[in-house]
Amino acid sequence: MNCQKFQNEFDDRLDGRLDPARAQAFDAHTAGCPACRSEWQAYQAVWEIVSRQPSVVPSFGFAQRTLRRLHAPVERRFWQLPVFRWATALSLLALMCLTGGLAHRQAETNRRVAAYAAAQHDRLDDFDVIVALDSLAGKTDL
Amino acid sequence: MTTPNEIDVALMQRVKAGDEDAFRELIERHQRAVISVIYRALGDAWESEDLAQRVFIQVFRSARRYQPTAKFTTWLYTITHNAIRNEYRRRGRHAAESFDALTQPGETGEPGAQLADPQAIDPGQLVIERELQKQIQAAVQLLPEAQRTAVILCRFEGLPYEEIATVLNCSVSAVKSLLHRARETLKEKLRGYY
Repeated sequence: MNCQKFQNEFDDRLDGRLDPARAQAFDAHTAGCPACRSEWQAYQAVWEIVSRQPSVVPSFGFAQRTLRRLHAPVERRFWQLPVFRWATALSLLALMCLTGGLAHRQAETNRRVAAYAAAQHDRLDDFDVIVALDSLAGKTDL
Repeated sequence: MTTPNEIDVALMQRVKAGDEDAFRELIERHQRAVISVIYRALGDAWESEDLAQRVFIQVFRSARRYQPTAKFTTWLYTITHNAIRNEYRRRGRHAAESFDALTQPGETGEPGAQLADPQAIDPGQLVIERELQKQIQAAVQLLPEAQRTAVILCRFEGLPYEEIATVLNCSVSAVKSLLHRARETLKEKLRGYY
């Protein structure tokens, strides 16, 4: 077993996932290679001290308190309250109506402005005809 | 002989029918494991209990949909992992803000970290030990989420790769990769302590 292959098997060896033959080959390499043995020992040591992190003892009555909490009214944030939701929905509806109304009014105004402009344009067209006729008649100088 | 999983599955069938005594028994069987997993991820004993309660309440509310296609503990750890992940997102951070001082289990019943009997260790050694615990906890909590969960479930709960893969919704080779990277990181961070 070469050193690279050996180090690739650290996790499997640590977690007991090597079959007996491969585990034996692994241990034989450990015994014969000081560099790999040092790496392996460091790998094992870290895993060993990590396990020294303590566990937690649940406080007395944890199960009972959990059952009580199961039946407690559901804690809601203010935005989850029905009154807040209704108020938000109605506000949005009012805003939509207002926006729609304003848009309609603007469209009506635009329509009237366009109609006025068109009427003015017709008048200007008439004016141009009058000026042209007058110029032909020699009454105005273009 | 009834296996622990068979007991859990039988209890869950009763919980499905609304049996709260069965639910209480289920909590008592797994409260320590759930609280410990959460504590190792969050680092605060009281918050761990609060989140653990929410995990068990989620178990109760999901009982109707529960199918024993996998081990009960795998399902329970999946709910726990999701709860921890949501808690981290809620807080918007990836490391514990405060390290809950290691205490002995209190007489008033507050949760405490279980340590070796301090009477058996000299005071100087106790200080060193507590400092080491602090460094270990900080190093584990600074791991990326999936690596942290893989370490906690593998080292502390003794789950095989296959179950960890189910909890994390990834492949077995991905679990091996997560553990390898986590171990390399921990080796660097805890250099000097071994």
